[in-house]
Amino acid sequence: MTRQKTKSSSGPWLFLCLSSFLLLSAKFTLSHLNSIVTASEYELGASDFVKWCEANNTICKKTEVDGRDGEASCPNSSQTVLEIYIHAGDGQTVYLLPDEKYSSTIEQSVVKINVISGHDLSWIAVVCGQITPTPSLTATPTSSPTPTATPSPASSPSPTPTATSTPSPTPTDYYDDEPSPSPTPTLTPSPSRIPISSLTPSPTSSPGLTSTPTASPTLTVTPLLSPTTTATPSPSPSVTQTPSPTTSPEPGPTSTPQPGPTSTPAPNVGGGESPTSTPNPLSQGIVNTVSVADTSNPLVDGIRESFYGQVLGLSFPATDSADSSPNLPSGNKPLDGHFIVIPKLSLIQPVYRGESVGQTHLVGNQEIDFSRINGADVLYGHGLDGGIFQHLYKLNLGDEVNLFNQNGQNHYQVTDIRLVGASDVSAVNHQTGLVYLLTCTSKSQRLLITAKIIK
Amino acid sequence: MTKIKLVVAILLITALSVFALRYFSRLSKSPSTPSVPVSSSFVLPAGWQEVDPGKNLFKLTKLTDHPVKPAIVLIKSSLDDSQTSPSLYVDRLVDGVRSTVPGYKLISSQSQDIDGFYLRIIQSSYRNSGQTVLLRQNIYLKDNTVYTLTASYPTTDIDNEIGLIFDNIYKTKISNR
Repeated sequence: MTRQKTKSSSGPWLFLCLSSFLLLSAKFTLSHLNSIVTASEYELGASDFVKWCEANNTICKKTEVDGRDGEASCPNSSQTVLEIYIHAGDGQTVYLLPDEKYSSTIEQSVVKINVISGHDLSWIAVVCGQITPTPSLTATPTSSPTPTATPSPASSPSPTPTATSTPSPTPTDYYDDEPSPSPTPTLTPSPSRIPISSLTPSPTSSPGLTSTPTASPTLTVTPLLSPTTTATPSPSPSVTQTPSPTTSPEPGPTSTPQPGPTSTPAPNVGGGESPTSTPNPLSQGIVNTVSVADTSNPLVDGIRESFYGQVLGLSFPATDSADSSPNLPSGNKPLDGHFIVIPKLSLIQPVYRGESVGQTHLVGNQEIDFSRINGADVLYGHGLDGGIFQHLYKLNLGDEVNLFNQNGQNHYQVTDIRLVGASDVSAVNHQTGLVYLLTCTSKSQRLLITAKIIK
Repeated sequence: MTKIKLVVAILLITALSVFALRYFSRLSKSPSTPSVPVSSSFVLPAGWQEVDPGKNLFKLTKLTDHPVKPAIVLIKSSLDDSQTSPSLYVDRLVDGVRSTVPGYKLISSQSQDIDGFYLRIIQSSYRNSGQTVLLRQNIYLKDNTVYTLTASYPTTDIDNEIGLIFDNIYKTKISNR
């Protein structure tokens, strides 16, 4: 009798437990599915994309197909497929794979697509690059061509107005000088359709990756680091560079930037002690930058101040860029006395303190913003749509990067170049004397360059 | 055995009651919150409340369950270069937003003169954390003073409320009528 009673009364408990478990697991499954199934309608229309692909035929190849499956290959068989775009039906929509309606298999430079539920394919385009699966790099300062997957950023129309303002997951605190062991951002693992691996510059390769310069007006740049006494490897009096066909390396209107009055302490970007007391380029009057007379923007401030949303997860949305040539007011303020100088790119720019809205970073198209990721110093600039770091891919191992702060300057040498996924910050680690340069090469990838201080 | 069950049952009932109380108190709060007078100047529509403005002149938010909480902010700033025409100045600001804010889409931009102010009304949207955030921004310029009124909100169903609040803020805090 007692046993029967026990049995019957345990029923509701069991039911309660089971239903709770089922509810919880259903919720988990749904949220998990949401994070891995992404519809990836591309921002640009088909005709614009085709134009871009034709203009960049060394890295992009479009193949006409008709039916439920198709195959496409890179322009060069030594290249690796980095991104796959497809056009299906007769509209203007371009899909950047992965997408749940299409399946793809990639074998080195060849990609095969099958339609799962979408329209018939009309063309497949692949963007390719030179990637070797070697996980690490040895610094060989003499190696020349830079392997990048960067679709020539300056060519227009660009297929990728997708410069994301989010360099990666939220850096902890821009205003915090301490290299705090920042809480690791909770990343939604983006489905990595493209092998994320280190790049090894192969001296013989990759003419197809960078747009080959055809025009040849040489550009001579005033010495940037003229009378320093530091042991810089190449204190050359002038840097001569042949610009790529469609771009000039920002020797814009010659107004000097005004490091705005920032009350917060400026971080010592790069972390290293200042080995010299060289005056910064601003005080030497040799800075040629685009005008940054006033970066304040009450519209951006209003957006930032009025955002009251909860953080739902990381996002790396695309940017619809405005005319990117001038330095438009972004609301970010220059870090007092901080400059980055990259002689090889003829780049001399002030460093800004980036702001954010929620987890979305606000980075002006012509700004290099300082942020901390995993406690490491990261300088981020846009790489697409004529962004300030559009030529970053030209850097090679051993190239020089100089950072100026209020105390003087630090010299760095590039020690590592790699492509990483948009949400992958595992390669960024705090280490004294390292600085990372980060830029976007596509919607899903970032070019990450590590530079080490030279003692 | 029976005692354990009794304890578990009591605990369960207590927990359920707490949850139920919280849930119902929240439900009853949102739709029927009485309108709140703001600074004795105007009355806010239901659900809106004034919050600590921080460095801004004025800030309001609305209680909702939507991840993007509607908010309105009034900022006052000054124009450095008085030579710039208001129209060109605002155009440059809009270009700045477009090149800075990810996923920014300009929907409309209209200008008018009101009480000696140059007024630009800008409707736009952007993406944040996977959500579309709608924006309505009114920027008022007179002499070197710039007032920027920004509303960010998730859906168009509160357009009217926002219009009403904008009008009131303009009357009481910008034109001081």
